[in-house]
Amino acid sequence: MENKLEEFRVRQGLTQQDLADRVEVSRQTIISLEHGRYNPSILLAHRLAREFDVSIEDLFLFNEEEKK
Amino acid sequence: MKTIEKYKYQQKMYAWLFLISGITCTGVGVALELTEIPLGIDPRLITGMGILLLGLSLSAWLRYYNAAKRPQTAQRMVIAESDERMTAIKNKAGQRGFWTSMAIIYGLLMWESVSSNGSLPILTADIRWYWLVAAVVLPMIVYIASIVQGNRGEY
Repeated sequence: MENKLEEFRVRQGLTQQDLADRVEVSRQTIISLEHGRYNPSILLAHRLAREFDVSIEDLFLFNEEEKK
Repeated sequence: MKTIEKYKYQQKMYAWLFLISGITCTGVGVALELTEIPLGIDPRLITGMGILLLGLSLSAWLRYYNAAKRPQTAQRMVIAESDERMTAIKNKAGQRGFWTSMAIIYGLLMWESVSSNGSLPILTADIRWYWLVAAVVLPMIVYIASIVQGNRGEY
């Protein structure tokens, strides 16, 4: 799943570790998320969206074709 | 910082628990060694178990003091342990390890069943022992390899 995590993070001037600390995950998880290798749980997606004050849909771009 | 306080409390509890059981076990072992009462088992096994428990206690104390001294590092360590991606990797690795273990044990069970009616050669005690060793070691290798693979980029 594509996401704009890196874009939002950089815009807020946060490092990957800062963001990881804020949403209580490891830095590796943030790296994997930014590279699109890992799809977060709904809880983590919600926490990330809340952190950037956006909706989950703004942050994660679900592509129906990708699922197929 | 709520998580770190819980972690510190847990480590302290483990440390005390291992310390008390370690001292008890070592004490009993040494006492049995000194009294030379015939038990049918070597009392040094009990002493050894006690020393192992004391080692576990020391390790829990070190974790406790480390958490107290460097709370941020410890907080990250606690987070890394319960990290959802890491949990997913561990779950997958555990599942693979479990099925590997099942396959090996099932193979042994089938061989023993079939060999009892003469269709396959009867396994010697040595082969059976190596088969059981494989049932412990191979799932562990599969588990570790899966975690490494997961961390390298599958997730």
